[in-house]
Amino acid sequence: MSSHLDLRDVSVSFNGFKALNALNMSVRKGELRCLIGPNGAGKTTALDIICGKVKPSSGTVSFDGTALQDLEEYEIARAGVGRKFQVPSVFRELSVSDNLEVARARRTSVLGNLRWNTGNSGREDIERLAELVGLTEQLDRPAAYLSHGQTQWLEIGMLVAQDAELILMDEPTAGMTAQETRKTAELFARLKGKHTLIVVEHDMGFVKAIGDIISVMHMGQMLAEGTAAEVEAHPEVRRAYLGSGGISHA
Amino acid sequence: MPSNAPNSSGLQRLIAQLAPLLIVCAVVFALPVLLNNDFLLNKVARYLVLGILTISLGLSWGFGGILNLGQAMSFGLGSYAMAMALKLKTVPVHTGASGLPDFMVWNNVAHLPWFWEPFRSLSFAIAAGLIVPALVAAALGWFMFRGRVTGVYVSIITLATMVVINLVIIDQQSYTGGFNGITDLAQLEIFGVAFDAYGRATYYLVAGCVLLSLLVAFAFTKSKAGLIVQAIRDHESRVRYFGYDVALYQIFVFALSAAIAGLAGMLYTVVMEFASPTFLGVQLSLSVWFGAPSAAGKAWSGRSSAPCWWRACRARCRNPRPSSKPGRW
Repeated sequence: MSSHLDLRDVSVSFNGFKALNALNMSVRKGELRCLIGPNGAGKTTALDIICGKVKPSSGTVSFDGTALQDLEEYEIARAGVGRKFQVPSVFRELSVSDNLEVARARRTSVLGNLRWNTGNSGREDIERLAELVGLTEQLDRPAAYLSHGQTQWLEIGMLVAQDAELILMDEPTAGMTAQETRKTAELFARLKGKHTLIVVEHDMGFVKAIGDIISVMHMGQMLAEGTAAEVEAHPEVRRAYLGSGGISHA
Repeated sequence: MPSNAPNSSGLQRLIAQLAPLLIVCAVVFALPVLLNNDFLLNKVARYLVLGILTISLGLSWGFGGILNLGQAMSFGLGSYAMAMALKLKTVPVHTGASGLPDFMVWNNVAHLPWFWEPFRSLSFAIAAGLIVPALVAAALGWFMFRGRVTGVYVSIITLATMVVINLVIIDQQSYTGGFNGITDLAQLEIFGVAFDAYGRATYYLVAGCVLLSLLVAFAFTKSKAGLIVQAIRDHESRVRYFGYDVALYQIFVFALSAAIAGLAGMLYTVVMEFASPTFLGVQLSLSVWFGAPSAAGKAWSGRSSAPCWWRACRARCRNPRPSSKPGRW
């Protein structure tokens, strides 16, 4: 199967610091790819490049044959890329149901959204999503009142609502309890296949539970790719993680 | 029915939100029955017009998070559009041929300037009073919001733009009446109804426009576009990653707000019987800004329904709705 997302020789530097140095990565359609690496390896920057938050200084990003690197963020989102941020980014002043409604971006034009919707499908959709992420009780509360774990869930729910083809997750389980993490893993397993996912994660247990192929980044480059067992046995990966107690403690 | 409240509990909530607005409007409409004083009625009409201006600011600032300190720019443009049309309807007494406005005669202007010509039509003037402020705002918004200008810089740019237009109007005395503004106007007449500034017809016209502005603003805030504008106020960059073109939404709410301010400006000319550069002055603009959040209702705009509106829309966003059962933290 041909690749769904392709990063070719992507470089980006911040004030001379090369956050990404000729990064190459390709992800197949429907795959769940885990992206790991030590701090400062460029994992988040790689996601920033794909969703348009950061523009690459060189290299290309192609998604379904579309070159993303020259598009605006909203155009990239319309092309089918959704992003969950490391610091949970939800609309704190809006209620949980309004958050999900904003994320259900079926129409994106101003005039298209001036219409008042008379159907009940929207509300049902939102109730189903809330159930999926366990926020049914909180539907009418402002997102600011959610706990950290619930906020993470809300943002994940918003990405499901957005129904993007490619979903980028930056540390989705940070701040979650073991039980919440397990539920997240189950959810991701359901999303896999229908959506292409790239997940940046530090929790190796979680990565092993969900990931088919793991990509290891180091110093802005791709260090190794393979199954969990393969990358753990990789000598370069061991060297990169040396001093942090091995990959399972990263 | 709005997209986020289609079921019966949503309908109840909608009615509950709409009720205070309609009660305020009912009081406004009932006032002439209780108040048998033309002078006071004119005063109240004037406050109501300023209330419409405050509604417009509430929409862009309270709702969209865009603090437009030059809101009176749109107000003044609307005011001048109406004044130009009414000026051309006055019977020329001392001013020679073809109804040339008096100040043009004093400034040795021989022919009516081209941009005054279309204002012979009242319908054109009314359309211009709405569309010109909206277009100016949209153009300004295009530069600001495409360039991702936010916060205090938006305030500075809008304030400065208003001052520039104010200075141009004062400077171009032969075309605008300069510092004196446009005075000695004819009465507005629509479908045979004459709107005397001290008459009940004018009061009801203003009251009707208050109701209209409130309903337009309310409808917008209940639409999905309104929800997205709120989301932009809350977390602008996040909205982009859902595929919405944030700048277009900001331009839209900015222009809608300007059109409502233009409507208020037109009514102000009718109520005050003149147009003046002070209508787009810094002082008026800032007092509206000051009036908008003075929800205590003690400021001058407290008599209008605007602070109620502002409070309602603010409270809805800031405070949680009372939930039926205590949620988990």
